[in-house]
Amino acid sequence: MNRKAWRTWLPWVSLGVAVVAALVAAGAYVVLRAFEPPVRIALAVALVGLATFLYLEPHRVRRWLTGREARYGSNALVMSLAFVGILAALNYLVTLYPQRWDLTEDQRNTLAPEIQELLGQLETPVKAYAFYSANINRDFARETLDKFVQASDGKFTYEFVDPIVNPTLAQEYGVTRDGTVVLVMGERREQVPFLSDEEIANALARLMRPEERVVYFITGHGEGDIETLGDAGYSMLKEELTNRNFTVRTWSLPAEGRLPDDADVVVLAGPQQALTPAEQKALEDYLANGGSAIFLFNTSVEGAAEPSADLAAYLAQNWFIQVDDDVVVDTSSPQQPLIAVGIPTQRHPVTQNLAGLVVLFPVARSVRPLDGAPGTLTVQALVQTSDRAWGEMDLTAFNTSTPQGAQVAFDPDTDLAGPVPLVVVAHDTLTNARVVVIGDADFVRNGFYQAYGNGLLLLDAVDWAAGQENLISITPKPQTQRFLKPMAGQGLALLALSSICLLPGAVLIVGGVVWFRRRMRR
Amino acid sequence: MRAIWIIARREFRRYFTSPVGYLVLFLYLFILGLIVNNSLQQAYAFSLFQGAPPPNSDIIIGPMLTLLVFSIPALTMRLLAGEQAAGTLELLLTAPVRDWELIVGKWLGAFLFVLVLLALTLIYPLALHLLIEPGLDWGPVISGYLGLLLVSAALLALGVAISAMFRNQVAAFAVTLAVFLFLWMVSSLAGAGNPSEGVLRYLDFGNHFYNAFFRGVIDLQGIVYYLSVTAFGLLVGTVIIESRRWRG
Amino acid sequence: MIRARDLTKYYGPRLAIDHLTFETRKGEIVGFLGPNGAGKTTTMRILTGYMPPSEGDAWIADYHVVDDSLEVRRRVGYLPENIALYDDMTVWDYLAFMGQLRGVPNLEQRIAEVLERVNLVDRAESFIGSLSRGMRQRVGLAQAILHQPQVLILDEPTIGLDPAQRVEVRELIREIGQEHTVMLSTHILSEAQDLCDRVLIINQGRILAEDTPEELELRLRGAQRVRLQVGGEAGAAGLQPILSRLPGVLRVEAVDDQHLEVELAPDAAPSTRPALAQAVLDAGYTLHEMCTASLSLEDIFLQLIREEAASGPAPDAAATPTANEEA
Repeated sequence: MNRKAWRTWLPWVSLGVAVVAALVAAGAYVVLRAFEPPVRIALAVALVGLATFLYLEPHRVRRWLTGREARYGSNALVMSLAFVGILAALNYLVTLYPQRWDLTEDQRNTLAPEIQELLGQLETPVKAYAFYSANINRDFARETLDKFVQASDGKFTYEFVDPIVNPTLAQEYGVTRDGTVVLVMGERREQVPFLSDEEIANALARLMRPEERVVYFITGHGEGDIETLGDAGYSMLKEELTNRNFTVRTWSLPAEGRLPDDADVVVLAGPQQALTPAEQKALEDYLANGGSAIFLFNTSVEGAAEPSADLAAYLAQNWFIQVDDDVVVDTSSPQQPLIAVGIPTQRHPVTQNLAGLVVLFPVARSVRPLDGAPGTLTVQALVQTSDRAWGEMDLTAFNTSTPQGAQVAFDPDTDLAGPVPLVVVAHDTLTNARVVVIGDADFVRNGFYQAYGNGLLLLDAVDWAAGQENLISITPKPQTQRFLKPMAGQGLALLALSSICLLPGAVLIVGGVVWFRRRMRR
Repeated sequence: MRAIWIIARREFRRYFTSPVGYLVLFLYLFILGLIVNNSLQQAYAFSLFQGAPPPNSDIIIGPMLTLLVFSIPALTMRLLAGEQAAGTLELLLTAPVRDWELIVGKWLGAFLFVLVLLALTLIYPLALHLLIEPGLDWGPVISGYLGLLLVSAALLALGVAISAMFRNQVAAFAVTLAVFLFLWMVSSLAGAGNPSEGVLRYLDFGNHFYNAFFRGVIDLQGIVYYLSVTAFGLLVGTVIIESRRWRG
Repeated sequence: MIRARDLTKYYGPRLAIDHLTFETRKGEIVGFLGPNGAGKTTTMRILTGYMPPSEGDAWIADYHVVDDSLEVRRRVGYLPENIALYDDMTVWDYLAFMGQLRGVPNLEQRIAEVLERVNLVDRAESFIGSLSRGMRQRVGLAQAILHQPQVLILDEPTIGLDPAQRVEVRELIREIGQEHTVMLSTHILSEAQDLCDRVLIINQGRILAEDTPEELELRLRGAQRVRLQVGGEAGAAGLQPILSRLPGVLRVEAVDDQHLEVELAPDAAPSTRPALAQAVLDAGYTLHEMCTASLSLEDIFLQLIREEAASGPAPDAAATPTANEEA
């Protein structure tokens, strides 16, 4: 009987060996891309196995190759392949012509019509790189970007990049924060620091309507330097502005005597020398012609020369912004009372992306909006301290000879009671001139740039001042407000009981009755 | 075609005369009830804080796909594997019924049962509707249930096909579950940047549900995908049964 | 009605049936007689389209069992061996289900009729799982005849039945056989003799003999055997030369002192037996008993196998399929 036993298993074992060897050969060929020895050996083994099988089971092979089995087998194979082919084609077709119907009441899966229109105008393909490491959830990004893909007729695509796995690409695109999306159109790119329909649409609009946007940093009065890399420099600010497609230049006001014609925004960052009357006149002319400026004023105890009385008066009279000569003392962080913690208060393009982030101002002065602005001028304080801070008017306490903060105390008669405003914006709707005044110039130096919302505040301020914040303005969708009907403890218990027990219990009872009745019938 | 209905009706009734049907119904509804209740109690705890969004139909529809993935193998395992083990398949295969009619009939019977199961769960959205002012957004409920129906159709078809391959119900159950889990996780197998990522993401049956139907969107692509998987499963099942008549 | 040509089936390397060729006519009851494992069930499964033959063809009502399987299945009623039924259904529901699948007209009336016929009317509402072996067999039979098939294929229809039920079922088959073609398998010779118009004897997957039961019986006996008990001083052996000379006697064998076995030629004249008795008496012996030695099924098979071994290739279990094919 031994002879019979090996005849039963040997053909199949050799066929199995042949199949495995053939797979190994194919795999090795794919990897090696040449007829290296491993491929040849595997192939030889496969052939030997196959030959053994053919020799030992000739009748089976004949049955396979001829007659009914072959006929039906090939029929079934061809039919199945055709069927699967049709299914695959159908699925491919649907990916080409997607159709979606949003059933939600508030159309929350549908892009605003303005954005759809924008995507309709898109001609050059745009690719979005979403730099998301494995640590953060991609669902929201995917959901948001999917909407753009679906509305773009194939022009908008996206890809997730893990910045930890692929740091070169992240570096190349200037991504410094996990969760950043970069839109790329040809050679140009736009960063979307915060993901929302509107932000992507705006970045897209900027890509589609390229304009050179120039920011000038005024020099010549000891302002902070945009090239300096150390803690005191503004190099990070410059880099981020460049990432946002701003052209960043310096402008020596004393040398030129006037302000640049092509400036979208000029920034005066903590001058240590006062502007000459002629320079101030040039600045006034610039603003009167619809220019935009951002003023970062340090406190006088830090040796700041501006705002001089003239400039302060100009800002107060023309822009209804009062810059006080004080020092903000913020007791919300007792160890560092001179670091003012700024909290965004208004919903405004400059602060909307802060999303709860505070801004830290190391040694700040208060900047207040004044009443009585004409209807064509809107003045708003955007960031202020908590009410545990005040504007200390008695600057003698801060002289370097006296120990810091030793005698500082709130004096309700002279000091400015908290909350102390720190950032004020003004917009002249007639000329479209925009002014941002911030009571500190140090908070965006490299040493502080990455703290909380510091960098973001200034970036968005530049965006706003450049008049670019709302390329796309979206009428907010009406949101249906829903709330739970109030319910007391007993109601909750009843709810639990009915949701857990009622339905499954009913199923158990019915099942039990059926089972019992069948038992009885036997 | 008549045979499909006859077989489907018998299979459907059989779920209600066998413990398996009631067990699946009970476990499904019980676990869903626990999850929904948990979410609701949490929502009530949070509703003390201002501005907390109220729960929506997601808390009900979200867990239902997972539950289906684990329930459906129990429903399909016996359809053909059980008949094969009991030997009753012999009479069924020698009756004048076309093989595809047999497979589709088996599938339809199980699908009708899932239909009942899903219909019973509608009590949860209805209850939630009463708890929320001014009522539930029914759009995602409609699209969610449509998605669940499509997912069920596809999974049941795969389950029937796998059941046709085995004569042991436990093996059929295990393999079915393994295939479901594989199809569920398949997109996470492909790392980012993998050229096959697109295809794998497409094959993932969870994606089509969670990225569209679950969010309140009816997606033609999802409909076509699920119907294709259904057709594919029924084809495989038919070929397997049919091949018994000529293979050998 | 049923035609098979060179029907062959391998299970792996094992040959289950080997080039079966046979034919049955309409309205005939054909018995498939053979020991367990002879290939009866395999043949019947092929005929009903449940499994394909490895080689060869079969037709039922001129429809090929593989190529026109559906047409074949429409015309065949099948009772599998050890029938498996849905235990969780009632008899009535089960018959209704099978009847619907087969599109039986006036189904309720027909079910009632069939239940009457298989004597299960009072168990119509019982669950099949609660029925005895014999009742289950009758449910299976009911299912097979429900749609009045042209061809009825019954695999061991009386197995597991008590003698009374067996008689009933045979009666039923005989009745059905008047209108339909019936093919049944059995390993009980008397059953085949009793029921069938024609019998196919099958062993090791081959047909050994095929004929009417009467003819077969004769042929199987080959030679009639007569057993004699005699008394006499010389002993039984002394009769041997005397009896051998009688016409129609092939061989005489003395079993012991008192017993003789005489083998008669198949065509021996009816007068041979009286002549035997006379010869015994004439030789001075007393005749105590004279009877026909009966052949058991085993004897028949042994005999057939012996015959085959003499005339053809040995039905050797160890023969490999390859060897068989080349033979």
